Amino acid sequence: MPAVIEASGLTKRFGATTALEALDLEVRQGEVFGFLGPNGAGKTTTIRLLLGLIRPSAGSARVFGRDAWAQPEAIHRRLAVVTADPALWPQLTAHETLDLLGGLHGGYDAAYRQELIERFDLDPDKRLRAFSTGNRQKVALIAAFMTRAELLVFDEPTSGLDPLRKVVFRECLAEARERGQTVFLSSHLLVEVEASADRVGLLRRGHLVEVGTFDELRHLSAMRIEATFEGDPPDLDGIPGVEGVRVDGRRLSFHVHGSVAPALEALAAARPVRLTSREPSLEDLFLARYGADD
Amino acid sequence: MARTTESPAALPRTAPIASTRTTGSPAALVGRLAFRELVRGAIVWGAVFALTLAASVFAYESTYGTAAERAELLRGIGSNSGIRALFGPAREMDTVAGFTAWRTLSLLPLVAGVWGLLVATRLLRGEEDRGRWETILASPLGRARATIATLAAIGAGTGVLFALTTGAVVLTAAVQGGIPVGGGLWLALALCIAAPAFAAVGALTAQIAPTRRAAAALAGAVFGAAYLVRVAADGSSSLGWLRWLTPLGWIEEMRPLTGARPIALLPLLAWIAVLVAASAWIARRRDLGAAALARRDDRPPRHAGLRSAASFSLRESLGGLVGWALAMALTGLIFGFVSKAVADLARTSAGLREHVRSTTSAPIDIASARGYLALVFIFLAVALSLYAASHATAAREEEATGRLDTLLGQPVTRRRWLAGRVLVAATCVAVVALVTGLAAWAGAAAGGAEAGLGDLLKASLNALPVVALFLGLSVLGFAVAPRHTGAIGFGLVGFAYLWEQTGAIVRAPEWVLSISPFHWLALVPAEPFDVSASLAMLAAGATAALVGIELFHRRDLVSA
Ligand SMILES: Nc1ncnc2c1ncn2[C@@H]1O[C@H](COP(=O)(O)OP(=O)(O)OP(=O)(O)O)[C@@H](O)[C@H]1O
Ligand SMILES: [Mg+2]
Repeated sequence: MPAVIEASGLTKRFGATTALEALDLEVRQGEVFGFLGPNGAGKTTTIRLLLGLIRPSAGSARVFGRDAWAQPEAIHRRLAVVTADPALWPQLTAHETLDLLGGLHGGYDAAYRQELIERFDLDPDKRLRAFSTGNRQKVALIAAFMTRAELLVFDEPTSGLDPLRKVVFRECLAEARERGQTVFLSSHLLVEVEASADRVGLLRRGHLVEVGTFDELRHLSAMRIEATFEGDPPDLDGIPGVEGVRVDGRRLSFHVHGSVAPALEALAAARPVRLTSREPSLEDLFLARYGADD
Repeated sequence: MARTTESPAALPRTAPIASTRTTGSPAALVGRLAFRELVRGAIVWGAVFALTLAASVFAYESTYGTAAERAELLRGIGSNSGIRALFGPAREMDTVAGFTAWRTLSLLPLVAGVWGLLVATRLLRGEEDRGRWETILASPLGRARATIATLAAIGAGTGVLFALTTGAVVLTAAVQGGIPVGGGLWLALALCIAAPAFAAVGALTAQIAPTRRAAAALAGAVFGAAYLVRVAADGSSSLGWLRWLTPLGWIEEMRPLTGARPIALLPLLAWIAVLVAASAWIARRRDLGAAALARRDDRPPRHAGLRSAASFSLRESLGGLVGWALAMALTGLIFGFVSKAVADLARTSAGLREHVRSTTSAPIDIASARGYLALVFIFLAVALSLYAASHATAAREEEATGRLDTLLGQPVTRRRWLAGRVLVAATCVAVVALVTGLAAWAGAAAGGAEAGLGDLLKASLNALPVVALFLGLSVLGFAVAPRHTGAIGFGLVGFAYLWEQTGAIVRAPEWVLSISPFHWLALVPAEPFDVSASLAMLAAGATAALVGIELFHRRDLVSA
């Protein structure tokens, strides 16, 4: 699959702060790429660089094989963007806003637009000034999806949506993916990324600390095990891979890296009455990555 | 007092919260925040007021040196109803005090009033539009008190204006004599009090209009009506009682330096108090963001101007275009109408002619309506330049709000976007200039002046190159220092105008005067069009705009 987005050594400094440091990243055609990171990690900065709104301090970003800073308009004909707090024109109605954005994009799927208006339950004749944040976000989402652009770039696109609309968003995302559209999805909502992303990248303080499929990343993280015993819980000291042991009366909980066999043998010997194990969620991954020292 | 007999242990108390009142109450904080927003403007206008005052004192002394000249001035202006209508009644024109009062009162209260209403609508409705008011009101501060705190900040801003004006009065009085200090203070008060009087109007319209723009337009309409009533009152002796109906009339009735009337201050203070109380009352009762005059938020779509970035810029500029065209047409109409009267007066008064000559840098003879209109069109060129600069600030507003991110996320190039805006700005300015010329012609025709349609259209076209220059410079400012777009655009126009004015009064040498582009304007229709100067200014403006577009193309977008 050819790469739709390629960043190499992409760096952006604002005065003394380095918002993004030497980012190397490749997003392939047709994949949904999740982009995660805590506040201030540099996600929005990356997206603005990909859109050619700001100029790299070093390195380069290429989208559809073109330089993002040098040829933004050729790139923008083939992509659509939604930001967390989309800045739109308060005096325009939703209908007019969609006309404007669709017109500037150079065309859209009118039937799909109508369908999206209904699915997102949007009042098209209302001025944007009278809209809530979530409703404004719906306008921006419809404007993006209706273009059927080859690349969809989302920066926390659902932060203001209610649970029902979040489901609609996920459905639209799945449809886009089925049609072969590429998606770059930056989000704090791990469930959203977990449900849709083929691969994720974890960003922290301007550095890309991890990239891979969700399964690949899972191996980096520990499995969590909880057990309750009839008598005293066993001592797990010295068993390979075990970490973060907590004893609470007759209950024991811990993480295991790598194989769980040695730990399970030790548990079995102490006759557990209950045992639960959990695959690490993206949230665990996130906490393991950022929780301790961030 | 209650005796404290209980032991400390018998007093179960929650732990006291450490007091951190070092920064003052919420009201004081809100007031200080608002004051920071407006103090720069107050200082700039204070400087303009001070200069204007000093200029008229010194010009009077140098122009009307003898008693005979002064008597003639008094006779001439006193008997001319057109001049009286436009600039207010002239009293004691044979003294420097009377002349200064007349000259400054004719203009500065209008400036103060417009400044006051713009500041009030910006700080009240504008901040509410942007959602900042919501943050402020999350503090333990009621809506009414937040409104009053903001208005108090405007009062403090007026204090700055007043202090600078007073300083100028006291200083010139000390240097030149002829103006008593007490009377000078009263004059400074009369010049500045329009600011709070119309800020109070702006405060009220900010409560009932749905947007900052609408609030400012409504307050502007009240101001325009007050001005027209005052013109009617001064223009005809039978309508003199109308003066007691509006703030501008009361200010005139304060009669500074010419038999002051303290009683006229009372209605002004009452007006301010009533409007402020009404604003606070409405602010307390209405929903945040709501407005009595709110337009419907539902409407069928209007499709015009949504096809391209440039047509959308035009659509967005239409409101401002209509407002400016109306205001400039009214101004052109009035000045056109009085042009014959002024020229007639100047023919019989060598002193007035000499006065104009000494306060303009160009050798202008206002003894003909054409000469006077040429002078007027210099002022109109200044106003049009401000309008041009406002287009650069509109572009900046689009960038600061993040909407430009939305636009440029579409296949729209930066060059095309900004070039489109510049073209729209140039078109709007040209349209307003033509409308002004037409209106001035209609006024001149109604007033019986011998100035043809061709003359006045030529005069308005003549103003365009200098306006194009300032448009180009403000676009360049937007490209180079986006956060200071307004300061650069408006500042350059203001600076050039003050340079020209002060230079003329101190009789600066030609090369000093020619630093101001307004000095390069040919005095059309009194003189022929100056092709080479016009081409030079057009070329300079176009170059500045092109360089600006290119530099903008290369810089990062900068949020607010
Ligand atoms: N225009 C700017 N000027 C100065 N610093 C900036 C600018 N834009 C971003 N930064 C800084 O760059 C860093 C990254 O910001 P960015 O907005 O990319 O973070 P983010 O990952 O999108 O965070 P969030 O999840 O809060 O949206 C932050 O430290 C921020 O303060
Ligand atoms: Mg962000």
